[in-house]
Amino acid sequence: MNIDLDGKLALVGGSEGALTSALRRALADNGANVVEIDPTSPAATEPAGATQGEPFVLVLVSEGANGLPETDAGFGRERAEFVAAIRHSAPRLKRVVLVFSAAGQVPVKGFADFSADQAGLASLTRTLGMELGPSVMVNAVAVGAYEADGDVRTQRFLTHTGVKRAATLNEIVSAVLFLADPDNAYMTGHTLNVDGGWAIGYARNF
Amino acid sequence: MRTDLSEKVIFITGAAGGIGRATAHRLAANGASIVVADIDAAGAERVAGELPSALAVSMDVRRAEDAKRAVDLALEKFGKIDVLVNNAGVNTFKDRVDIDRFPEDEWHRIVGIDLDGLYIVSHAVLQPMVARGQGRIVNIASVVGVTAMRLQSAFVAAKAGMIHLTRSMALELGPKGILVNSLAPGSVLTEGTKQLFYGDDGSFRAQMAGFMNHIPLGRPAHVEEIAEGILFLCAPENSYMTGHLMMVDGGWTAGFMF
Repeated sequence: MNIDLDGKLALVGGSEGALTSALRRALADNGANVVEIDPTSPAATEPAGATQGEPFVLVLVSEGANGLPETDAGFGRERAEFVAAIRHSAPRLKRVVLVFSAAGQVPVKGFADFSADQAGLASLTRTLGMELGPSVMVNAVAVGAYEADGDVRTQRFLTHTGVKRAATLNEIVSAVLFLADPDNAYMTGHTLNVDGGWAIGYARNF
Repeated sequence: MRTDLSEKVIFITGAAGGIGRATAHRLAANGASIVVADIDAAGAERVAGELPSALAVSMDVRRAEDAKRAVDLALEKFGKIDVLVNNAGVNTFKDRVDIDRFPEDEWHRIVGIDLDGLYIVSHAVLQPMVARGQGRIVNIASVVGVTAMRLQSAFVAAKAGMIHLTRSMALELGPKGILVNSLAPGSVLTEGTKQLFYGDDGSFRAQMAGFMNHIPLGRPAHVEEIAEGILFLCAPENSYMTGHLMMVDGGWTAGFMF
């Protein structure tokens, strides 16, 4: 699928990794001028004047999008940084897309801090959608198990996923493109679950 | 967005007008062949005539024999059905009353079309889809299936039923290669609701403007914007979403606004 971001600026940052790189490539392939930003510094969402194009979309990828963490501790700082970065850049934007773990939609036993943190991102997608409308649409993608760099992130979801395989990076990228699409103009505050049905069938062992 | 639906056959119920017709056009513009199903036979013929590759079928979604015949006609013409869009639906306009006064015949009419109809048409389409081991179903629900509203209890219950039925279908059909999602439109401008919003002189009514204060995007949707969401749920690239309820509601259900 293709969207038309010709001449528009896409600011992309957050957790660096295979998914974030794939998102940058796809946005560029669809015509955007992609700028790497560091959301820990709100000023970084204002790229230097040399960059051309009208600011359009801010994409922030959570650390949680990389899968369940090894230790369930230390989350929360990223969320405050994301809120600050979004509020700071909102006056110049039309779309914000967050990417986080499907554990933000259904809490995972043993991951209290992580699940709450990711649910916080789902909640701020909704509150900032209300706050920044009608000029800016704020939406998100919650990812389940996916393949990247030859390995499956959050493989343990697959025992409880209706679609019997992990996602490809391209399947996640497609959802982000849809939410960044200028033609998609009546959605805000919504999180798309790109999880093969994990969030609806979590309690059932397939 | 643009995607390649040139090899796809998409069966849309309630396709003679409103969201259904806009969806038929949007999907056809991306190359799909469309089965235009509607209880209004002349309307279905008219919309099919507007599209490059289409078949009109008249059917009542409450009747299994209608659904079976429509599916047979579609298979005869196109050989397969890739996506079913369960769009046909009705709400109460005359009986806007509380549940203690809600008429039984109106209850059965609404639940019969909106919820039973989803089961009946899906049941017919799923026979060939399961045999092929691939397919998709997109169910058009409503924000009232998520957040309740007064004076339309049958519609509220039927739409909530559709949303949860979508999830159970997705669980059952995922291992069979079939994705099932629902989409909940919020307030939508159609020929039917335009009068409600704009009145005779074409100006946006004060009462409606007040109502729009509770929607972050501050306006009703155009049918084309709902069709855009349906296009995404039909897109071949979007192949890891199932059981999902996609809100295309301008943020109506995002949270509490005051």
